[in-house]
Amino acid sequence: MSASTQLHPRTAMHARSRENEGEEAIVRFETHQRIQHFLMMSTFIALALTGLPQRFSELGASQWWVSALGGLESVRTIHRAAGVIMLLDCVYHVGYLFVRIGVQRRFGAFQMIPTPRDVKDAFHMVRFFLGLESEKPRFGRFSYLEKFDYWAVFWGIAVIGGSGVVLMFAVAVTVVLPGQVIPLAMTVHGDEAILAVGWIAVVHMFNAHLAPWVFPFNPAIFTGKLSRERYAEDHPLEFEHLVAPRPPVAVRQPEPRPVVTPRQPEPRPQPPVAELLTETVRPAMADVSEVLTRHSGERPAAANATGMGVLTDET
Amino acid sequence: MEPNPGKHGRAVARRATWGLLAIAGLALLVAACTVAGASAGSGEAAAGNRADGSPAGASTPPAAVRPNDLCIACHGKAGVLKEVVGGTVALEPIDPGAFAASAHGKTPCVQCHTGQSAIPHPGAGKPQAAATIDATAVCSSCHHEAYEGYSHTAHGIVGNLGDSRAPGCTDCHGVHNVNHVRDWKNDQRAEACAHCHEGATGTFAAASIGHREPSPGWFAPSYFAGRFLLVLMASVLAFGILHVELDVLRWGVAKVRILRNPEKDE
Repeated sequence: MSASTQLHPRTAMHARSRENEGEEAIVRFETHQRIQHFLMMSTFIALALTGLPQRFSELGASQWWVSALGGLESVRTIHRAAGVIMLLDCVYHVGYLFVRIGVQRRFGAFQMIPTPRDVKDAFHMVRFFLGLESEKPRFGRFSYLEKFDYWAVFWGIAVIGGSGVVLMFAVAVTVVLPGQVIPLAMTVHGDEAILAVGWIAVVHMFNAHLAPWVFPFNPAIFTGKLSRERYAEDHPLEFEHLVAPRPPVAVRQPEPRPVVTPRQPEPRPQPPVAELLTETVRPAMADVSEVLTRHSGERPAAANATGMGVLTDET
Repeated sequence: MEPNPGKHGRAVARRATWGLLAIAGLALLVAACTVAGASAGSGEAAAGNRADGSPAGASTPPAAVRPNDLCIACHGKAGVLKEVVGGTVALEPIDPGAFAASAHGKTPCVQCHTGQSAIPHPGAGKPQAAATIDATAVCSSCHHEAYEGYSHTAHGIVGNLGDSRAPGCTDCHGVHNVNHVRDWKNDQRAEACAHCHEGATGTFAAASIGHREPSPGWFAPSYFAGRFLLVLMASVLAFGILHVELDVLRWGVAKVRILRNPEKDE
């Protein structure tokens, strides 16, 4: 993965906040993403609870539930209000992406785009399931299932949201479109919704929360934070990027060193604390050395040899 | 297979693999059956509905059939009074020409207005006038399939869920002027639609799929979209559920293996 896949420096610095128990957690989702997910989740639940009884209206349970909610009229009102909020949430998300990518030039979102690696990972996972592979595939920021989840919502919103709007303004729609679109929208709205509910209730719920190794709850999408252990296990490639020391610009200048000790490849899971320390300290050191250089007229090489060299060699 | 499998470990792994394959096959089978069942179900439904919308099993008229002329002789005239509790009301006259031209023009009056063969009519003067029929029950006695289909339409759903505004048969089809479905022009339908759907036009009325399931020859876009979504649903859910199952099984196998020989598998 290239350097562009790393988190924004601000996020990376922020990532080193500590949780209550003193166990270090890493920020996985920023506030906007959490709000977007919360809106999506709550409207989805409301839509499912008011939509399914309409889809299965012959069932006694549906009829009971609709009357418990105050009759079809109020069920429809809730359904439509939730649908509009969900669509607004999508507008929010698209606007958010536009600002991040188009205005701020932060390209983290591109990691959601499927790549051939995801296909490879999926086959790797199947081999792992069948015992032909001893380790799970190593995922980056998003696993292939997470990408599937995300793009499934995109497809679902287009299909269910589009058909929902058609049904909501049925008479107005027929001014421009042929009448056949109304029954088409009916079919599509209900069928695709069952797929969405089935997927979320079984697959998404399992992978996010109910899997034995996650159970009962994965807080990442709600608190934004994920424990280091979980992160290292679920997103090892991204995790390595997050904790790996990234040399600031000042250090990157090629400097002839008297002794070059090649760094030993470290065992993956837990990088030593000193390494983390180095990363947080380094930018500060770089600033200090720059200031020193400016004021005393020293050569940059000297500054580098004093502070930075020692720290790097110790690790 | 495994990086350092002992003899025992290899046997367990082989057993686990076969187990996983068996479960996976079973899940696929279940998914396939679901799809097949759903297809067969909708196929039957499509075949059961007649294209012209005519009743499939018209029940035989009762023995004591009176000719419609006899009924029309009184009910075709304006000013016929009906006895009700505490007085009389004028009956709305039936237009004999319109009735004769309607889809039910040759249907005996008493087939719908059961029990009215006797003259004077029984039940006259009672609070619930006997000639007022429960349209839905009466219509469905001939139009079984249309009635079945109705409960799956948008209008039927509204009725199923107990909304009082749900249109019954006569709200759209009319009473004595009922049109045969194939003679029912979109503009005429639109009038019926507009009672509830304000501003409904002929294009909107063309949205009426009737009381039938879509088929390749009837609302083909809906039919093929439904098929496509069924296949999509089956394959996506089969993929997702299999993934979950295999995930759990692999986890379980690893757990069992650790329990059996804890020293080997770290």
